[in-house]
Order: sequence, then C-alpha cells, then structure tokens
Amino acid sequence: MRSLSAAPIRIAQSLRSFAYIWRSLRRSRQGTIGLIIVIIHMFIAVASPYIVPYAHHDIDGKNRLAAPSVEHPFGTDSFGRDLFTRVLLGGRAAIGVALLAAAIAVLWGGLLGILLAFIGGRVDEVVMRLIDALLAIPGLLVVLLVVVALGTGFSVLIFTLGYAYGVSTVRVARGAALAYVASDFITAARARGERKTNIVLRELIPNLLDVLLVEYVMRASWALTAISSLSYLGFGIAPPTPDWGRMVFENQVMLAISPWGTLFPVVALASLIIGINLAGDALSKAIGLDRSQEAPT
Amino acid sequence: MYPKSRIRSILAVIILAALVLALAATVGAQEDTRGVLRHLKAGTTPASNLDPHGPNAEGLVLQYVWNQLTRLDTGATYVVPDLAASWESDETGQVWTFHLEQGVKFHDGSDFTSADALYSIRRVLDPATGSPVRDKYLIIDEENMTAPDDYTIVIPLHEVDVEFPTRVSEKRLVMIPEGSGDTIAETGIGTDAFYVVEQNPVGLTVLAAFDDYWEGPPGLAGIELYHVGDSAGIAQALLTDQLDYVGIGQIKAENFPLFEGNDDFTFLIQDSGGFTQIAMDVTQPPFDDLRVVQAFKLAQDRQETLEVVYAGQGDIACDTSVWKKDPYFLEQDCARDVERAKELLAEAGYPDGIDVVLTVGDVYPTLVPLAVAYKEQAADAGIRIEINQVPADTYYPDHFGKNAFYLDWWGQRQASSGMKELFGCGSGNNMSKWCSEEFEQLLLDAGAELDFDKRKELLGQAQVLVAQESGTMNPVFFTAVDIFNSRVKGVTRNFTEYIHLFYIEED
Repeated sequence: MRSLSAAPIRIAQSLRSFAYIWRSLRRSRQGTIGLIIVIIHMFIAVASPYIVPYAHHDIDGKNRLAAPSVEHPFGTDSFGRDLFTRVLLGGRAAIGVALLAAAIAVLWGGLLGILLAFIGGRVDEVVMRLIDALLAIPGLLVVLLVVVALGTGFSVLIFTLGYAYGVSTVRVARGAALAYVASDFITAARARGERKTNIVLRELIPNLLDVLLVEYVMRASWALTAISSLSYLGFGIAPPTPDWGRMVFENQVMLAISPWGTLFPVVALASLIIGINLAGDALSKAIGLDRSQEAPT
Repeated sequence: MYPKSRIRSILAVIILAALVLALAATVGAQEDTRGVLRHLKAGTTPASNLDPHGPNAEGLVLQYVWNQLTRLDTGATYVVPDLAASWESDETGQVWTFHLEQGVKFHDGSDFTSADALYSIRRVLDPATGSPVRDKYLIIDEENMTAPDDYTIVIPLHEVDVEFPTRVSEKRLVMIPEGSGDTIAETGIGTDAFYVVEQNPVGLTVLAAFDDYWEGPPGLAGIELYHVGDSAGIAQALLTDQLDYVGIGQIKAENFPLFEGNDDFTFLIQDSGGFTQIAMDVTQPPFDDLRVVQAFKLAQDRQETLEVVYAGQGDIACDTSVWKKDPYFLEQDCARDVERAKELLAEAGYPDGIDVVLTVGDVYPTLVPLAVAYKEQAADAGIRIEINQVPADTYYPDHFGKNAFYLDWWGQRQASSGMKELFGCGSGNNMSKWCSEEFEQLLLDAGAELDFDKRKELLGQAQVLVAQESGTMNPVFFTAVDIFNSRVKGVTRNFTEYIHLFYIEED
C-alpha cells in the first residue's frame, strides 16, 4: 500500500531544516565570507564569457610575457595571451567538472551507503569490506591510471572523479543512515508494512539530505583541488582551454621571469577553495557535524 | 697469555698495515681526476634499449658509445673520417672502397676489422632488425660487398651515389662486433669513447670512459644520462646543479633569462637545421585528400610560430628538412594564405570547416606550444583542432606513427639522406607515410649526378615536392641553444652529433 502522507511531511521538514541551515550560515561570519567568495566565483564562472576583454586563445607574438598594464591587467603569458581573460575563464572547466563529479559521487555513494545500512547483514559486510579495499587505493592514483588509459576528456574526468570520491561517500552515508535505521519511525514504517523502497526514499533519504549536502560541498572542494592537480600534472583539462592548474604548470619555469602568470591563477584557485571550505565548515557546524574529523581522500 | 712486547709488536703491525691501506686508498682515489658529466636524456621511452640498429635505440647513447664509418664536420657540411680513415670510389661513383682505421678496439677488447663493418651494414639491411633507416641503404648491393683484407671493405651500389660517404655518416649505421646481434641490446658494445655501465631507459643510464679509445682516453671519467619526465623540470634541474648539460631544443627560450648574466652557466648558441614537425598521415582520412593537406599547410602562420614557440630564435622553414646552411638548400616562398586554405577545404568537401584531433605529448618543450599555436592559426581557415595531450611516457609507444595527426622533434639532417629518411616511401621515420614516385626518382637522379649544380637543381625540385605535397608541416628551423654549467670546459659542437664528448673536460 502506498503511503500518501509521509512524503510531503518529510520534504517540508527538510525544507524547514534547509531554511534553518541557511539562517545559521548567514549568522556565522566565516560562513558569510565563504558564501560571498563562492557566489563571486560562481558569478564570474557564469558571466565571464560575456565580460572578458579578449578571446582566451588569441595569440600575440609581439606581446609575450608582458607585465600587467591597462591593456592587460594581469599581463600576458608566453603565447602573448591575455592572462586576465584566461584567469576569469580558468575556473569554468574545473568548477563544472568538480560540481558534476561531486554530484555523481554523492548520488551513487550516498545511495549505496544508505541501502547498505538499511539492508545490513552479510550483504553489508561483504560490500563494506570491498569498499574498504577500494579506499586503500589513493583516489588521485586511480584517477591518474584511468586518465592514462582512456585520455583526458571531460566525461572521463567527471566519471572517474565521481567514482573515486563516491567510494568514501559510501562510508559516510552508511554511518549516518545507521543512526536512523534502528530509530522508532523506521521501525514503525516497517511495522506498517511499507515497501522497502518507500522506506528508503521517503523516510531515510529526506532525513539524510543535510549530511549529503555537506558531503557534496566537501567533495566538490576536493574535486576542484584534484582537477587542478591533474591539470598541473598535464593530465587534466587539455590545452588551450584556460584552466588554473594548467596555467600554473605552463608558467612554472617562467616563475622567476613572469611571476604574475603563476600568481593570479593561484590566487583565483586558492580563494575559491578557501571560500568553499569556509562555507562548508559553517554549513556542517550549522547542522551539527564536525568536519574537522574528516580529511580529504 | 702473550707477553707485553708481543702485543706491542702486533699493534705496531696493525697500525702500519692501516697506514699503508689508507695511503693506497688515497693514491687510488687520485687516479682519476676527470669529472663525470650529468647530461639530460632525450626522446627515450620505456622500450629503449642498447641495440643501436633497432627501432628502440636509446638516443643519446648512440652518440657516445658507437662510431660510424664517417661523420660530419662541426659545420655539418663536409664528411670527415670516423672509423674509416679514407675512402675512394671507382670512376662511376658506383663502387666505394673504405679503408678502416687500424688499432680500433671494441669495449670488450676485441679488434675492429672489416668483418665487423660488413656484419654491421648487413644487420641494418636485414628487415628483421627493424632499423628505421634501412630504406636509406637499400641502394647497397649487399651480396657483392667484400672485404679484401682486415682493414678494407668494398661496397658496390645498385645506383650511382656520389654522396655515399655522407650517407654512411648516419648515426644509426654504427659498427658493432661481428655476430653480436643477439646480445647487443643488453651489452651495448661499441668502439666510441664511452662504454655502457648501466642502462635504464626511464631512469639513469651510466657510461664510463673507455681509455683504450683509439683517439686516446676521453676527457671525462664518465657520463650520467638522466631522464627528466616533464619539460618544465629541465631548466630547474640545470639551475639547481642537478644536471651539467642540457642540449639543443630542451630548454624553452623563455627560460634563457634565468641563466643569462650568471657566470655559473655558459651558452652555446648556433644556427641549426633542427625542427618540430606536425605530421598528417596521408594514408588516413581526411589527410588522404591532398587538398586538405595543402589547406592545413597554408593555414600556418610561420612568423607567429617563430615568435611564440621559439621566442624568435630561428628561421622560417617551408615544410622541408633542408636548412639554409645546407649546400642544397632551396629558398622557397610559403606565405600564409587563409582564403586559399578555405577554398581548398571547400573543394575537398568541407565548406563548413573541418574537425580534427591533434595528438601531442610533452616529450620536447616545443611540442605542446606548437600544437597550441597551430590550433589557433588553423582556426582562421575553419580548421577546428582538438588537442589530445597524452602522457609523455605513452607518446612514442602508443601514439607515434599510429595517430593521424601528431608531432615530433627532429635534429638537423643532410639534404639528400635526410629527405630520404623523413619523406621516403616506407621509411620508418616518415611520419606522414607520404610516398611519391616522382620524389624518389629525383633523389635517385640527384645521387647519380656528378655535377654539383645539376644535383642541387634536382634536390631543389625534391624540396618543392615535399613543401607542396608531403603530409608534414615544419614551420621553423630553430636556433640550437645548449646551456651548460661553466665547470664543463672545452665544449665543441657537431650539429648532427650534438657534441663530440671527447673534447669535453670538467674542472
């Protein structure tokens, strides 16, 4: 029999809790600063194609490694390309990949974790040992292996990072779900004879949305670092697409001659990661989770 | 219990022995005061080995461990003796006799004789060896080669080739001991100034001085060849004293200011015929249509490439391998023509432009920048390029010669033999797999022509064919810049052999 009343109640509760989280975030100073930084970055990422003064790939052989000027506020790179343009556009690819990869990670990792907590027993035991084994392999190493084998397309990066971060999400989601599985309202739902899918979808998931949200924010910030690391190593975003990690790599040997080629992309990348982390910390405090107990994997 | 005097005697003997040993050790340590040169490796892959004739020879080891019959002078213009002390041809230029240097020893102590020379030539001609330059030597009448004595070989040719002594200066036609073909990939026995101690293609390769070298002991105790995985690390390694010597094309021009005005480093700057080539495999679509190939060539902005990829250090090239100081160089006009490129693409069935994938690995510092620069230039003609940058270590084994559109770096080549190697039908180093009967005939005719001016005319026609029809683009001949630690003294450069290390001494 289909329960008609439970879902709207749970979603309304979730929305109320989101409104509460939002208020707490805004009340926290570091949360506010983080949010502002992230919003500025998101605005730039969306609007940059319409506001940049040059095309990111415009080569100017006469104006290579130029210092910052009115014409080129951040200077130019070794191809004579405008660094201001490339820095503004440089986050788009990485942010896009990071957000999608984190979404995939939380979707499959979260769902599998919650299901394992709900099913329990031998299936849970076996799958969790398998997850433990997968966790023993560093995520970035897995991503590097896949990228070497399959190339550096956007879809490869998104799905590989989504896989790598999803493995750790399974543990987090399972742990969080276990706290609810034994609770009275789940027992009551079982006693009512509700279908298992209904219990998972309508009872468990709405209660875990806040945990999954924090998980998503954390994974997105780590995925952003990972994608920039890959680009820096030459395995990430393909040239000449502007990307902060790749720009740092390209300018690495010119650091002593043209420091702005490294400085501006680093400031851009660092500020976004700091912003996401500040917002993420405030978010987890607002919903009563301690992020300091987790480290990037 | 021993009496005290006995104990004293024993102690005295022990102390005396210790002193003698210490003295001997000091004397031993002073024996070799020559330095060890730490050099950058280039172009090695995990498959690289010590077979100098095979397809996977470790590049720089070839220069230091083996000798050819002849080599080119420091200006890379004239052929000079190496293991052949002298040579002459019959009146027709079709039968060549080489008189070998006497007293030359292999690293295993055996003498180098005519039997070794004939064996080495036969091994390069054997298809089973897989030599990338085999095609250059098919002109040799292998069955009728003879060795009248231990130090003379006679090589008859199928065709007249007045430049044959230049042809055998190829660094891949080196001399190895007779019968060593099965073991040479591991032993690496040669006749040059250094012998192989240890070889690791993607790690350290160690060479030591061969003091029985026929020209006398080398000025270095040894050479350590280091593999640096990415081009960005090369300048840093030199700057932080982890390398002593970095050769042509290995440091980006943008980095020169890091070393300029610094007495710790010395520059050796000379014009060169080295280049980076973009190849279009003409056996694969869309490059099997000559109009597409020509459109791609016309889209090049060579001046811009010279500026942004080589920091202005070089000369414009017109897609051939023959450079301005080669006696057979033909000056050509290869101006950019974007409109004509668009027309050609439209005629070939691409009125709305064309999409292609350009595969590149960061194996030489100029490769990725050239790919980026060309992508931008080609866009003006409606050529939409997606750059597929693959890991450096997989570039040669997995992509070179397999992908339809890719790049590589080449050192200076001689006009005739270089064109045969890079554009000749079936040659292993012919990146675009272009094959033209007309071109082959021109090279053959030039080889048989005794008059220099007529030979130059024929090789000029061959250069025009390469520029207009071959599947390769070479926009620039770069200036060769070697940078080395000022501790390294006495460096002279031979363009085609990088450096002849016999002349290098370290303080």
